[in-house]
Amino acid sequence: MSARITSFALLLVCLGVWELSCRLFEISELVIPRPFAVGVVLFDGLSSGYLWPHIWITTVEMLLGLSLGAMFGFLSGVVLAEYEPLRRMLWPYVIASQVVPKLALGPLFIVWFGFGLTSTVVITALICFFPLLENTLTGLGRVDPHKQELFRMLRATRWQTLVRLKIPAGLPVILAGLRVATVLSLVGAVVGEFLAGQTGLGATIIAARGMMDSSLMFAVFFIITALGMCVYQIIVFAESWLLRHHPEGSSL
Amino acid sequence: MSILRIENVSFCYSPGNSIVEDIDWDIEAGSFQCLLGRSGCGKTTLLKLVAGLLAPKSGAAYLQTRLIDAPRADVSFVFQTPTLLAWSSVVDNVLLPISLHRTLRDDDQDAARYLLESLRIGAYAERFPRALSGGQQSRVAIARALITQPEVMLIDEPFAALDAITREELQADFSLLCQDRGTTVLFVTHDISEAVYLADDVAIMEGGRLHHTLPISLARLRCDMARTSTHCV
Repeated sequence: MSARITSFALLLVCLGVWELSCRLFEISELVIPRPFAVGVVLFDGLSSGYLWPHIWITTVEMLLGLSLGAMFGFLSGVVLAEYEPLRRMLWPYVIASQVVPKLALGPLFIVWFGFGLTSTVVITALICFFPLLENTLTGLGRVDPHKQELFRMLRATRWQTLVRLKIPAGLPVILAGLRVATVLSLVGAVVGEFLAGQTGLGATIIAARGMMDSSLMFAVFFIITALGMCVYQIIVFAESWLLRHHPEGSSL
Repeated sequence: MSILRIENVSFCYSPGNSIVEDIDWDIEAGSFQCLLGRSGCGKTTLLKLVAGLLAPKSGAAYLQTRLIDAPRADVSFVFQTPTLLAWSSVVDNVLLPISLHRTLRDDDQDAARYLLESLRIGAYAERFPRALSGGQQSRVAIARALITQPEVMLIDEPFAALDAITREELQADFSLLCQDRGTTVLFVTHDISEAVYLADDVAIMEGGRLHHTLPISLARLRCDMARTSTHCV
């Protein structure tokens, strides 16, 4: 409890320092707006209903991209983990594609899918694909050999061994990948909107830049942060519920 | 009547490096056999060959005249570590050998709970392995091996990591259960007193070969007194 109080106190201290520095050094509102000004813009934007459609669009892109990317990443991870020859054949391509910055492919997607939601969702999904692929491969590859021997002794089929042993055993590592993907999905959605968006929080930042409205920009940063923290917390709760019986530590 | 015949079985991972050599052994139905030897003498490998987990390089093992070339439904194995599934409850762990092959019925649940009661952990049926001690997990592993009512049980040093008191309790409970069911048991251990306490015959293994077999003349269901009697010592 005291940790939370000190964290909150730290926030107040930072806001105070920010406000004071702006006044003391007479920093231009365009460069760094005062916290109070940001607060006003934030309140106005939310209460007038101006910001809500943008929040909605970004949330949809984020969650859609996360679901699609995570699902395909997980399924690909399962397939590559189960079929050794396939994994050996595709592995150099997997690494190569990880190295390419997905955001650099943004303009290509605009050519293919046009401006708007589709391009952003595709970029986000691609970003979320690789943490899940990597972590699923790792998680499924690290199953306790004693348990694998047990399943052999019990004459379990390959499918049963996958679904009743490997996936539950690898779940801690797979969910760690999901947490990483969640954080990245917000980046993907917002920056995807920088490139291809007409509405959404990222698009609002670009519009605010055009109008030199730093207060609006900071207000949107705040909303993005709050959105990210909300979704991350949901994933963390889901993870702790799914792993409620797993022992501490990720190896089983 | 021998239920298990091991004929000239040999095994190695690479030529010239044999783990198990020329093992010949006839095991009688319902008997409790202990396989004794120092670490690394090939006891676990022999057990896995009988289980069908490994294929012999030469020779063969037969269960009731049928060749053992793969794991079978009438043979159970208890591993050195309990290897329980952390995400399943104790009773679900016990029912694993059944739930992998057909849908569970009410009498399966009853049988599982009865086994857990016999092993004195009936109260833990709904708990998860994380909440159990090492000795309790070993009991669950034994219950899991017994749920299919196997003809033969293969046991690989299951009590090695436990304290002496827990070990003695488990030996007594386990011996009683096997005697009740008439199960043939092949029990690997490096503990001499454990072997003498549990077995009808003790087979000594050394350097991958079966040295000789010692019959134990004490009656089965030995009580605690038997541990310290002159026969054991």
